[in-house]
Amino acid sequence: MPKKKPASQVVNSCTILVCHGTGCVSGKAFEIREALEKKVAELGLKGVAVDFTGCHGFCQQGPIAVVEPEGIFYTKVTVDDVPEIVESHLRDGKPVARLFYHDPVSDEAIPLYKDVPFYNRQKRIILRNCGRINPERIGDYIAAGGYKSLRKALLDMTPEQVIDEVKRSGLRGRGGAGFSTGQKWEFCAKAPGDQKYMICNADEGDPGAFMDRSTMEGDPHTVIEGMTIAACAIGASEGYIYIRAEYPLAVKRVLLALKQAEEEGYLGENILGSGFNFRIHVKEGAGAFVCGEETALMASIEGKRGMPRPRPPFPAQSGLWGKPSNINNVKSLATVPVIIANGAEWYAQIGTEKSKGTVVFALTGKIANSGLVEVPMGYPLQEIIYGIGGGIPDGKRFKAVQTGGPSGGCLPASLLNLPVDYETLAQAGSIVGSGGMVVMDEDTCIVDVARYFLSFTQDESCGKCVPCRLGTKQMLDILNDITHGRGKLEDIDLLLKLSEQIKAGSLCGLGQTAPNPVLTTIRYFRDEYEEHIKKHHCRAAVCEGLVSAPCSHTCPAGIDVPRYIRFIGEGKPAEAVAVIREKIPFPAVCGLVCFHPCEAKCRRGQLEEAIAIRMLKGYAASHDNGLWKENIRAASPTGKRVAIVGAGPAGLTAGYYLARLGHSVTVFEALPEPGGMMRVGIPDYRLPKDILKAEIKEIEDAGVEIRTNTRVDSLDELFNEGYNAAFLATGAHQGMKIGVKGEGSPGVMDCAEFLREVSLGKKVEVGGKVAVIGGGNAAIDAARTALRLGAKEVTIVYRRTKAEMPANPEEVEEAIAEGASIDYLVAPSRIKGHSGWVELESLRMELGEIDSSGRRRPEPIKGSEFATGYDTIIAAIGQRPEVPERFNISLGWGNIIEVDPDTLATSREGVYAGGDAASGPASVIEAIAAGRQAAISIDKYLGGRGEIEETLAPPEGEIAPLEEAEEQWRPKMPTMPLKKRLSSFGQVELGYDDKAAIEEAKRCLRCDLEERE
Amino acid sequence: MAEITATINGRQVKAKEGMTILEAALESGIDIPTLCHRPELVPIGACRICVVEVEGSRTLVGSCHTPIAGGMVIHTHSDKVLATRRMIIELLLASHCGSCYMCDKANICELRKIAADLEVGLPRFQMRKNYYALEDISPYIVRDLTKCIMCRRCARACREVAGHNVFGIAYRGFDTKVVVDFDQPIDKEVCRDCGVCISFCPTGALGKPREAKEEKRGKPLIITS
Repeated sequence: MPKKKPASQVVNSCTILVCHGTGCVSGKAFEIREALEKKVAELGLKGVAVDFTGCHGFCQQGPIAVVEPEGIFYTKVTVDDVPEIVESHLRDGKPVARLFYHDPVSDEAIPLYKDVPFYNRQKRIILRNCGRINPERIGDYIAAGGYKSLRKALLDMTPEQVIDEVKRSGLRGRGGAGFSTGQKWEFCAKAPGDQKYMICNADEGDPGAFMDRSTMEGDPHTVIEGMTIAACAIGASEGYIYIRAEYPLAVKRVLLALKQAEEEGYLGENILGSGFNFRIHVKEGAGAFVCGEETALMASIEGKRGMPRPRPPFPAQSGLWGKPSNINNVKSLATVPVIIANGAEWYAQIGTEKSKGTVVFALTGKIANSGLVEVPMGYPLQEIIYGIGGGIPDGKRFKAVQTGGPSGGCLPASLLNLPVDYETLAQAGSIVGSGGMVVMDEDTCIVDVARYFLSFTQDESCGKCVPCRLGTKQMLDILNDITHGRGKLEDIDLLLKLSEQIKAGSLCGLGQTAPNPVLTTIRYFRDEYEEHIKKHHCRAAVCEGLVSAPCSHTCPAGIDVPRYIRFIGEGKPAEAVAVIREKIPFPAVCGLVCFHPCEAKCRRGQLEEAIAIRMLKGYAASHDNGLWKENIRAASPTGKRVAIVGAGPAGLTAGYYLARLGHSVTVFEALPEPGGMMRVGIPDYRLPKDILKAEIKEIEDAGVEIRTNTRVDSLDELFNEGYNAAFLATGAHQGMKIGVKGEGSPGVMDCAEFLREVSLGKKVEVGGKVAVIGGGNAAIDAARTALRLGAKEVTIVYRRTKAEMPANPEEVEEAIAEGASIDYLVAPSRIKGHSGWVELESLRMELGEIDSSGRRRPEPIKGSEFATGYDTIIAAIGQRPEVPERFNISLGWGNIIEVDPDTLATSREGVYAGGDAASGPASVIEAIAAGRQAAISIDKYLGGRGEIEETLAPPEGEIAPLEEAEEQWRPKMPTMPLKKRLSSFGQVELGYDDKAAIEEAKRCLRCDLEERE
Repeated sequence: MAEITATINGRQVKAKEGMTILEAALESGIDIPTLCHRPELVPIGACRICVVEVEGSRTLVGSCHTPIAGGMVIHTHSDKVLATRRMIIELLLASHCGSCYMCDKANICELRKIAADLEVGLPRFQMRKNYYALEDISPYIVRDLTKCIMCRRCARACREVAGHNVFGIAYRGFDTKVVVDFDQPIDKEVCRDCGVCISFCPTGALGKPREAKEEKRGKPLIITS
């Protein structure tokens, strides 16, 4: 620290403050400050000062520099930026715009500190001085009002009054347990004994939590002041700050602050002339998590192994060295001076009835803005995550939020409306704890999260009591088994029992809370546990023991993606098709229309961009030469007959595999042409008819008979005709109603019907101005189809926002490029039919609370009604299955056929169902996967072994994992020029050429070849 | 000392202030199993086998270390208590060395006795064991840590009864163990022949060396016709 007069005495026109918290220091903040000082001196700028502060809490944006008094907020500053900042801003007065904070939500640059949403929604009491004062100068703290409370407590108040003030404020321990701080002080004050100790617990050990460190680094004097007030209240003459040794900067600043406080008379003998003596020692902890427990912490100060001991006696009676002692967390102590200064009433009005004041969270994980967040107790969880945190980045879906570190729990989306306070979180199975908050998105495996936290507590267990030492070990091993595909269904119950007894039987808080992550994840995400156990499936494609390559693991049909991509990379597309054909009979269709969940999980996507798996599949399929037929096994006829109702992707896939197993298969189709939604739901410009026809032809060649224009109404008739089993794959073709008055008016069409009629070549007139209601893929298809039918103005009306829209973003982009527009946050309220046109009355919406789907529910804005005239309104709200009553099978919610999720068996013997009819509207690849499962189940039912796995591709040559990946983006897909598109239904995607496909295929990281444990 | 009244298993019992729940229960003829606790030693509440239910308490409490208070309502054998005790025994057995048939101390083993009392059979858990080499270089003591259940009676007896301080605790979690020096095998340099710890060990982890063992190791059995 260069010698300088205290800031208050220097009149500078501006000061640039560089953050010197640990995060920014690791980003070279020291060097940045030195460079700034050098440059300012070099240019001889008068009235410009360079200084530093403690942590701002927005470490993700560090190193941070703030120019006061303007309040310009610079983020991610590097040493190379220094000359520009000094010359342009400090000398010429022009702030450097490229270093402004860039808001991830609004996509805008925000120059001023006070306008950054991350900060301006917070209420900072504990962190009030962090990032604002120089933590290494006591003068700054005093100038900010510091040590006034100490003076007041020592000179104007009695210890009883101080305790009473803190009690009435409602302050509760911020270390996690939430016990009343005032009461704790009172116990210790009343305990008999001449020697008492005041201890500050700064052994912050939760993974990801760093608020105690930041407080000590950014404002060490507030901790000292709080501690001295507490010491005076309980009558302690000696104090300890227990800081973990991994916090060297905090230790350094606290030691410096102690020295300064002693020099200025705020510590030591006869403080402020009050006659009260108090000394503080710093004890560096060796980094054991259990030392956060107060009795273990005291053992550690005494030089013993940090292990908890039974209570009672409580530390207030017999603590450090057997003397009455009081332990408070850093945050509790940092709050005390504010309470004394402003009074208990002022503090008690912040927060909720039972939880007063503010709480600091270390917000991390899959969140746009990560950092320290201080909010009043009772603040809604979703406001922290979406308001302050800016939501989930990269368009991913929120999955869970973990609060309270390894002692806390995981809360699902449906609980995001919860206010954050001690009681509410405890009820939900979690805790406020010391304030860790980890946000997880869909790419996080919940079982793996539980396993991680258990491995942490098992590693950190002191080993004293049996439930914690051995119980958490057993739990960890069970979780390891589950994540490696060795789990049993009974394991879930065993975990629950173990958890309950470990919680009840453990000696200290560590063991008593260790099962919380497991309990809450089972409570809210049991289906994921079961999926791991029963199907060996990890939907986040994370668990190493289950997942070879995330793409093939995510593919519903399980296509061996990396293998066919390698074939493409070697210039062997026919071999690639053979690999794809090992799992699905529709390579070309999927190459054009699959919604490719594989790409969302592609590991290359974490580098720059996922492999274009779908497009590569399309490329391979268009270069097929029939090589796959060489390895086909012929099965002898079984003499069994199977009836399949519905010639969509599910029905045809099941038919194909059943025919290959030797059964005689007949597919009944009500429409004049086979293909189901592939034929009548997906428009020609995405899936040309001849491509579909060619693939259906292969299925017919395998021996499947397709009877079109044949509607099946009764299953009994089928069985009477001699069929031995039936598979119902009737799809979901019935459009759902909007649910507003007047939707029966002429000019209002149902989307499914509209697309069907257009596909089947009927003449459909839509007029010039069309509204499509809905936000799914069907809505986008309808809009693009309407444009091709000659509509000049197509508006998609969607009641939520872009972030919640279920439609494939690529399709949305194409639709907008072709001229469609989207009206977000609008919901229809009424339709009026007029002659030749329809009037759509709508309401504007705003996003309210989170609903059970984890999305924010749109709520109408009062008085926002408006009306627009259209020639046609297309309702794309959704579809549901139509199941004839005479099928006599049980139906579930939304009219879908109830099936056993594992076998697809319905309530009737010998009858199976799959695809949209049994799942509700889904995708082609999911229907194909259902078709495969149906073929397996039906074959087993008919006496076979249900073996449909086959190897069609020739063996691969020598292969090795990809050594190094250089940044490279996927080649652009050539498309039909926009001008030409709207005049026809010609295919929009033109496909990769050989060069582009090989280049793209070579980007694959070959995760399947990686070595694993 | 003042006398207080509490309720144990629905029965009014009298106790002296300062007594633990365990002491009060024993005095009233109620048996609570203990493993890490010995009346001669300061209770540490490590094994948790003596837990009982105290109405109004968030968790079960260790009866060996919790002082009884007037008006307490205590259940020493409720379903919850028994389930927890059984789980503790199961956990110990799952991490305890192999078969009792091979153990010299099988018939005086406290773990085995409590397991039998609580009707615990084969544990529901997978066997998770730490195997340690037998420490038999000392002429006074043989230590088999594979049989150790971490009750720490040896360490406490050594300090509190014998007045030495031979043992310490090291490592964390499942790997926690009672160590001598910096995790050295116990030898005659650090520990003489007082044998106090051996008499305190509830299992076969500590024992006296036997002559027969020496003989067998030194001379292979030769069969002559």
